[in-house]
Amino acid sequence: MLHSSLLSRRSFISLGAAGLAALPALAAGKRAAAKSVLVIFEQGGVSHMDTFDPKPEAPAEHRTPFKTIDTNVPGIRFTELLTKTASHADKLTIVRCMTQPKPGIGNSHPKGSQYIFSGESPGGAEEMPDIGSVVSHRLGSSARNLPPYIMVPGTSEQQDNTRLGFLPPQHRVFKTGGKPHEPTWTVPNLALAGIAPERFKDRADLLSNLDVGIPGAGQAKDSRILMSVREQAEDMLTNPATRKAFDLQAEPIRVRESYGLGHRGQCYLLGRKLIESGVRFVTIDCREPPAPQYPGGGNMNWDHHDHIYSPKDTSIKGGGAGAGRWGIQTWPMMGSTDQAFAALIGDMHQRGLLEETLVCFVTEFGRTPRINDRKGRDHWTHAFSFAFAGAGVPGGQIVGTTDSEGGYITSPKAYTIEDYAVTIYEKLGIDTSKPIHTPAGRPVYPGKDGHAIPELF
Amino acid sequence: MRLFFSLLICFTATGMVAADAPVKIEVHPAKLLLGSKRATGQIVVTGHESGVGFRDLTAEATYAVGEPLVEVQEGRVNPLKDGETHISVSAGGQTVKIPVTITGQSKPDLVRFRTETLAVLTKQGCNSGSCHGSPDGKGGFGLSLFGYDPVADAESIVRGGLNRRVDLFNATDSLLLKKPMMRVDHVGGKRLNKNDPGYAILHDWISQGTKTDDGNLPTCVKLVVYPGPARVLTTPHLTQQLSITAEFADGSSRDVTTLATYDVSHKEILSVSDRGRVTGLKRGQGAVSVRYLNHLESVHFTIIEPVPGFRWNDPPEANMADKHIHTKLKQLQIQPSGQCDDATFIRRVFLDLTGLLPSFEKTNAFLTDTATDKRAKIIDELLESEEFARYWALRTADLMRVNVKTLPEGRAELLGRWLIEGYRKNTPFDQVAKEILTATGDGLAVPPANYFLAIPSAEDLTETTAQLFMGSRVNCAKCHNHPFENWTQEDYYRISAVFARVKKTGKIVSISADGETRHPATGKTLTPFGPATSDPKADRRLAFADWLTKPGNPYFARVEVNRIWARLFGRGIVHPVDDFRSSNPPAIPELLDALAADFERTGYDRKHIIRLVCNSQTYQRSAATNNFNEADDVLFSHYPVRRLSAEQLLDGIGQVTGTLHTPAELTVAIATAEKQAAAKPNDKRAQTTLQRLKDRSEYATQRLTPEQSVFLKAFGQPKRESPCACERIDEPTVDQALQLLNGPIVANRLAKAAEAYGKLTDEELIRQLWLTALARLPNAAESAKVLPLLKKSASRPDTIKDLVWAVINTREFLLQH
Repeated sequence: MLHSSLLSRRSFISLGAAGLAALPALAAGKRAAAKSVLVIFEQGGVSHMDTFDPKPEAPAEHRTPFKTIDTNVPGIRFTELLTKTASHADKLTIVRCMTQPKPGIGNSHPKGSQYIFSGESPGGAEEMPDIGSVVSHRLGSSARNLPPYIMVPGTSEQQDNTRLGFLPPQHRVFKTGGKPHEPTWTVPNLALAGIAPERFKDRADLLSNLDVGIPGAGQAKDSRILMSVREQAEDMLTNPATRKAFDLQAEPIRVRESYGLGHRGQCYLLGRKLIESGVRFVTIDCREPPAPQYPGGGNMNWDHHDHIYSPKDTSIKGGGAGAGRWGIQTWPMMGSTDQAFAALIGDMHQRGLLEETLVCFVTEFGRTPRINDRKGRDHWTHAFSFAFAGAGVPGGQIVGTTDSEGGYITSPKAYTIEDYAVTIYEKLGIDTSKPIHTPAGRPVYPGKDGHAIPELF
Repeated sequence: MRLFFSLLICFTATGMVAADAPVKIEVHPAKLLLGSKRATGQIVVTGHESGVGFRDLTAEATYAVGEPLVEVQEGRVNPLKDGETHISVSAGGQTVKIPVTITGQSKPDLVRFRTETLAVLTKQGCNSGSCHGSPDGKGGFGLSLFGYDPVADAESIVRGGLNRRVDLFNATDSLLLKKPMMRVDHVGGKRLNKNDPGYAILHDWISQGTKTDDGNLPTCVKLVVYPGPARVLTTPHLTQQLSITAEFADGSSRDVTTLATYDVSHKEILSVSDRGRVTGLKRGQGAVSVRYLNHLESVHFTIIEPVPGFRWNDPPEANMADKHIHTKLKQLQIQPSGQCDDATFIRRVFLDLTGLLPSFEKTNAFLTDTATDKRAKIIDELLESEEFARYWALRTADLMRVNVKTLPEGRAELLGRWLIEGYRKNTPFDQVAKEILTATGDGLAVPPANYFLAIPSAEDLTETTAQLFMGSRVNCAKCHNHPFENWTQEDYYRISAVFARVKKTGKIVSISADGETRHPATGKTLTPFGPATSDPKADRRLAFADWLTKPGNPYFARVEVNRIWARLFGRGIVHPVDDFRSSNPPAIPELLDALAADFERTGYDRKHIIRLVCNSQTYQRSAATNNFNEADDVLFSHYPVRRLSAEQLLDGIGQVTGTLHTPAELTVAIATAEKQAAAKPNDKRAQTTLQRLKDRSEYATQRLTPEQSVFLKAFGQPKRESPCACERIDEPTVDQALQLLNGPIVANRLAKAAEAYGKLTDEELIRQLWLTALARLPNAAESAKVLPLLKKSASRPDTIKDLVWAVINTREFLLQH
């Protein structure tokens, strides 16, 4: 047979990979514990010493005003802003020694967010796809009627920093957009638009009657792929499971309330529903939308340059870089976050979803241990905290320490965003020693600059 | 990238032969000089079979040594003692004697770091991109990719790792040996065995004191691979020994058959051992590439196995394209498909040449025309059409960053119109290239100057120019020598040097009096790529453009005819179209060479080549396959079925639903708009309307810049940010299917379609719908399915919508076939 697909040409190009095929199987695969991943990206740079890494010994003028509280694990303490989450500490590993080794790159929100999405510091020789796109490429979808990589809703200020890089378009993130907490919300593009299901079925029948393909050319690749993608698309549009996956109204009100009926709570809940429906990789990227009850809250992310402890909005006289937020302790900020995150962990635990789902609570960077003259905290890439749960992540664990102000890492270990990415890949059993080839033939190794965080395995 | 046959003088012998024995045998090399203790030779014995072809006899030949100064095993020669002797090579009843000179056996022969140690590290895979050759190394041990930086490698191996990598007193205890042999843990696994030739080299290099200061020894200047550049292997004789010689700057040469690294392009067709023995696995073509240090050469293999029941049916040939393809098909025992019918042809040629479907009137007229030359006539007619110029310019503009973001102030449109003009007037392609590459001036006045203005950096300019006009992806060579081609870092920066004096001030391109490019590693000032010029003050681009466009240039004509070919078949003779390299050989080299020669002969006449290809039997084949060609998808034995492009699809949907102006309607609309604009010269809106009509902005296939709508993006329309043809995505995806089944583009146009088709009788309706969408009449089965639906319809407009929707979603509509 004569056959020269691009694939075989690429396999030639992967000179290095040919050698690697002979390697003993790496730890990957053996360690695969996750079938899906739920990332909660709280964009803007959540203050670590006001949340997961309390510093009661810090000088009073820079200390967090919030009390340090016990959790349900002796010895692990959060601030009182995480009162609800504290009762699930037994299911969490808190990594307090996250750091950005090249602070110049990820110290901005666009690049920092891209860094989080792709797991590699932006600006390399090839633009890296999101971790979710790589996962889609490597593992495909486990629910044929749903996209493999979904962002809920993808509305933070930095949502456009998701990247497809060199991967084909089917691995692009699917963003639901909109305000899932509103009763009228439906997911765009995945529901039949302006046509009744019965009529769509009649149309599809007519189509299958008329579509005889290209006579004599049944083996043609594009012809076969067209059939299979059409079948999959029809399934997405007509399978009741698709609608169900996005149907928040179908959840018992008790469950909806436990997450919080506002925007954030319902986004977190939708994240859980999609994982439950078999979506491989879900990123929650939300912020409280502007609303009359939150005056001055035009951009409710975590970028608290000004007035971080304001009881309402953070705007200062003369305007500052941190306008548009509300104080960190307010409901649209950490109030709703604590409630939603605690509910999510509890709910997923109860449903057994934590068995095979890796949950990651992440942010671009932390905030300065010192309060600035605008009563805010600025960007801090030296140390910040991520929280993990599920898929074999040990519960009730703290990894790493920072100094008494939360400024610098004092533990011998420090982990990078690259390490976070490799942790995801290895949890999913993805062999990071295998390259992905760009259309131009260059081998790219996702996660090449990182190592899995051993304490999470 | 060509091999140097002339250097290989072979001894041949003829004599009395048995019936099945070779007519003569040929022995390479003609003579052997073994000038040091570790020198080797690799003999290759070739039998010339009666009839066609060669046969490798290296393994079965017998080797008798005169004076026993050497030992020979399966053609591999090792020296024993100084002196003169000969080897008598016998095979198939014939004998050829080759003289052998052996010297230097009493002198030490130290291992050379740059030409041996590093070659071994490449051969064992140590310095590959996934291992220690990655930018950050692996496990704390970093090497340069394929040894391109010997100085850094010397430091890393000898001094790095706290000096533990080499143990001068007990070489076998060196990590450099223990790791790859897995005597200690090695994440990279076992890479080296004691009987590998590389083991002795690494071991001896260490025990001889890890000398790395051989930088002043002659460098390798050429790699000679025998046999080459192509070889046919016919079953049952499917093996071929290669013999690899490195030639050095001082004129010496050395057998490196066991030191070289081998790879194959098609693993299902070929395999190769680490000692250079090639085995054909099944019918087909593939390349074996041979790497030694930064040299790479390839041998193109064709594997022939008889196909039961195959008999060449001698199909007609319309022109030389068919001739070259038929030669290849016959050799590989592939029967081409027959000719496509008229309906298929007119749809195919319209889509390929204009991007649009033929109107149903046009199709109707063509189908009823009885003239025998009607296909040739329609090709001529389309080549003269405005739609052709626009659609072909669009695909050229795709590669030149012609988008409004990069070229604001209307400059994208200016460059777009200039490219269209090139096709409209059929400007010789060398002239087009020269005008682009040597443009100076204001981007608003000199459209091709925007080529430079659209490209953000000097590196991009290098890479874009090489990719567009030389079909070469040199970008790897920016940071290291290219891993799969002979492009070196020096070549890369020499191309850069061509453009070192291009100055961009706002939207003005000028040439400054100075500006040099240095090699990033050595700091050496580089001369511009191409021939040396006498006038150091001249615009360097002129000499480069002259060199590039001169007949005989190895890239220019081949790259452009290959692009034309790929646009008409969805696949290049070299594929991908911008990846010319010896390790990615053309499917049919003779075809590419012949088209390139014709292109040069006609003064780079693009329309001539397009016309030639469209008139070939090959272009006019059916997509239906037969038993002898169904597995072929690279030799053009049947028409390649492929998804319509984003633009073709959007306009096709517009045509089928009647939501686009037809060309005739457009002419009327332009005339009306012209009158209105003339009547109100100060009305900006009237002017804009006129310009939009003139620029055909409503047509995705005809407009100047990409619209980048959700629909077009889903179907892979490029943003025009890269010179790579791969920026356009051709694969069908689920997202596309969602657009077609459920998206607003189709849904919103159905109402208009229902209105237009609603005016027709049922029979007229399906006739017109089928002719417009599929360029053919509905068959009886289709009429029988559709007519009753229309007749018993509760809502005729709804039924028409359903019908148009269904036709748009058929594969016959969505595919070029």
